[in-house]
Amino acid sequence: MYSQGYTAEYSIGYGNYQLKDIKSIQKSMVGNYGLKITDCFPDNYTHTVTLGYLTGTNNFGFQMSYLTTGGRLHVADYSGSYVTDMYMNGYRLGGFYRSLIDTGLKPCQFYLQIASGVMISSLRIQEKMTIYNESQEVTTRLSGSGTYIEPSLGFSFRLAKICRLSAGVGYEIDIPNYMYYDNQKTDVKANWNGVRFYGGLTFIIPEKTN
Amino acid sequence: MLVGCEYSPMGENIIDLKTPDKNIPVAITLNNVNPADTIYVYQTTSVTIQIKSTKSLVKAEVMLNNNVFATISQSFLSFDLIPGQLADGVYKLSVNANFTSGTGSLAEQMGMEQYSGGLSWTIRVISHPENYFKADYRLNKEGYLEYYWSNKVPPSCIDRYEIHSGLSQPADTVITDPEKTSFVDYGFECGYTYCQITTYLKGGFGFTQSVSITKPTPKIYAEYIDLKHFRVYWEKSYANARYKLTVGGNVIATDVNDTSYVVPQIFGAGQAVNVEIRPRNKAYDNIYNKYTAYTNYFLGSSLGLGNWPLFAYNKKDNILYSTTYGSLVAINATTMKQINYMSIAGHPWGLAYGGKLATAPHNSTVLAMTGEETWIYSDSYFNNPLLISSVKGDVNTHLSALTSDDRFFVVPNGTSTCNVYSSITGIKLFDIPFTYNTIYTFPEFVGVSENGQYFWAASENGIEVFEVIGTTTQLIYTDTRFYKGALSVPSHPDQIICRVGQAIEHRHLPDFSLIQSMDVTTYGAVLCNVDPGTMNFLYHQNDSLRVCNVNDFSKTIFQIRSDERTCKIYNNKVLTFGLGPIYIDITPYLNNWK
Repeated sequence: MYSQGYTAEYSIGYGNYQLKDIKSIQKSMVGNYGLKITDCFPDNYTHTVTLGYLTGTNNFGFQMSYLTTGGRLHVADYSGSYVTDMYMNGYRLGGFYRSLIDTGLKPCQFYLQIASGVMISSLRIQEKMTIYNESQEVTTRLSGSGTYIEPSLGFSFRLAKICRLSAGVGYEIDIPNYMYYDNQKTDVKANWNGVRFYGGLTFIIPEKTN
Repeated sequence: MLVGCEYSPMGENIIDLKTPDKNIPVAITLNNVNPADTIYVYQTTSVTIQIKSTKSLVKAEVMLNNNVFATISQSFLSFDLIPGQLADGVYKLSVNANFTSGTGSLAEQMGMEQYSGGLSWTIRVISHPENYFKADYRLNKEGYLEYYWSNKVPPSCIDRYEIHSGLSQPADTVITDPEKTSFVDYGFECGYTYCQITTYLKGGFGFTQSVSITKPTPKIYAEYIDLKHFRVYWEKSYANARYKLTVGGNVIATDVNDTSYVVPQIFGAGQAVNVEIRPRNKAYDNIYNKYTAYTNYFLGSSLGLGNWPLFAYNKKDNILYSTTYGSLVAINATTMKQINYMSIAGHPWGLAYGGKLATAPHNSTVLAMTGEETWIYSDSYFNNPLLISSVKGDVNTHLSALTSDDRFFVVPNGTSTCNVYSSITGIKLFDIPFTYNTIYTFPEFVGVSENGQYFWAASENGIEVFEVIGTTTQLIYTDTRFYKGALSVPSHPDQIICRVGQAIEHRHLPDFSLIQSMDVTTYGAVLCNVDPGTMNFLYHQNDSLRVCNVNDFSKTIFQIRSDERTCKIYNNKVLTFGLGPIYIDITPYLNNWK
């Protein structure tokens, strides 16, 4: 076991997203010209990359995550269609600290992790109206930032000397700020609160071997 | 890499709807006016537009010349068209309406699926229709005066016309057929009239045009045709008329349409000729449309002298002497042009109230008797007259004669004496008393032969013929027959023409033997005179003046209708004594008068 070294990890996750204000926007559009919600910001995959330093049972470093989900309002008849697609993306940039706990069941280890940083959110609303042979498309963009903190726990399984398989579960708590539209502050906040499930591979570049 | 991981929204909401019909029924009405008709706006006009359809109205736009001035969201719109707010001209009022399709489709909701329909009307604004109301007149095909008019406002907007023509129509006329734009005035033929034509539009607004007409009263003319006829003709009146022709107080034709008539001649007096012009239809007669055209006609030529002239003729000089007012006038007896003129004043009468003129048969002496004295001139130059102040004359002087033995015979009115003077010295030589005085001054009853040898006095009681020997006289013949005149015969001092009993007798002196006689039992006769120049004898019989050679009473060589019995003939000019001395030269007609 390496007691000291650099770590790089990629994990794919799956989570749900509260996005209360964003969903409210979508709901407010229901009924316009017969629009109905056909997709409403479902649970979706996450992608996380971390770069850290391992020393003993402590692992800490930088973390970047990409969260994405969306929604759709749609109506169509003989004369044309009207669709409003909402693309919601989140970019987390922060740090993490992971404390490894030796279970005695080698090669498995448990860990507790706390991560925190900046959450940058963007909402792209694409409206497309097609009536007979004429169509028109309008895109609206909102963006905003906030902070997040995500405590989690998990375990890792040593696959090789420098590679470990890990899995965990956490809960993201956002402290969002209002989003901006065209430099104008709105009443909308992007709140990504929700449970996160992760599974990934951790590569370790040892600095010193015990 | 992240873009490829972005979430893609999904799902569809497809609604199955029925596609709309191609056409729907729509009704757009504007005051129930057919769009093919023109709407005339000449006063404030309320307009109501109504739109009906099976589909819901989205919006309708009312446009005036493609400019939207009102929007209709309900099914109707009311507004006023006010002429003063719109310039005169033609406008296009359009209503374009959009209706829902009713399908509820996206296209309908987006306003991209609608039914559209529209109608337009032509509007003609005439803010002052009275300015376009024109009226005039003309002659119609039948020849009557016809007023006609035109309006810019169409007949459909006109209620009636009222015609007022107070000078030619008995009452106003109302025309209720707006299509009729003319009116025949049967009461006008010429002169002046006027007509007020009023157009009343529906709604009561009315405006009037006046037409004045002045057409001259036709001129009337008279022209010579021959000795027995002359023609009267006149211009036709502007419009049809009927005419009444009066000549010399006699109605020649009444209610006729002709404008030319041949009228019998009558010599001796001017004849007033007039034609009365009235409407052809008597029903239209009134005091205003009665006109009269006048002219005057006489046969012969005027001497241009005053009324009641005296005459005397000097054969030697071929000069006719006459009078005009207070003047003695010498006239060339061929040309009938005045050659000299002498005013003879008196106190108070002068020649203006003079008696007789006389000329000497053997020289140029001429004598004029005024109201106060007698003037004797040696010739027509009227120089150095001999004044016989004791001898005055008047129109009733029975005799005033110069004889070739330079004597002046005068028989004043109311006397039975002939005074004989020397025409050279003016000294009275002797008197000739006679018995048979006459009360008549015309024709001549008392006379003397040219050479002064014989003097006679005739009356209704008889005749006395004296032979003058020196300064004495001798009665050579007398009888008690009924005489109506006795004339001397120029150049034949031994002859006398008498109108006696039922005949005209031509007798020889001193034996008073009969040369010839003409029976005038049927019509009688009035003696005039014997022309010293031509020896033609003029007398009046029945209704005519007749001329024959003094030597042949049986052959009338000239005759002309006349009522004048006081005419004279000198050098073949027959002269009137009456109103306005006129004459006719009978030379061209001698033996050709029929």
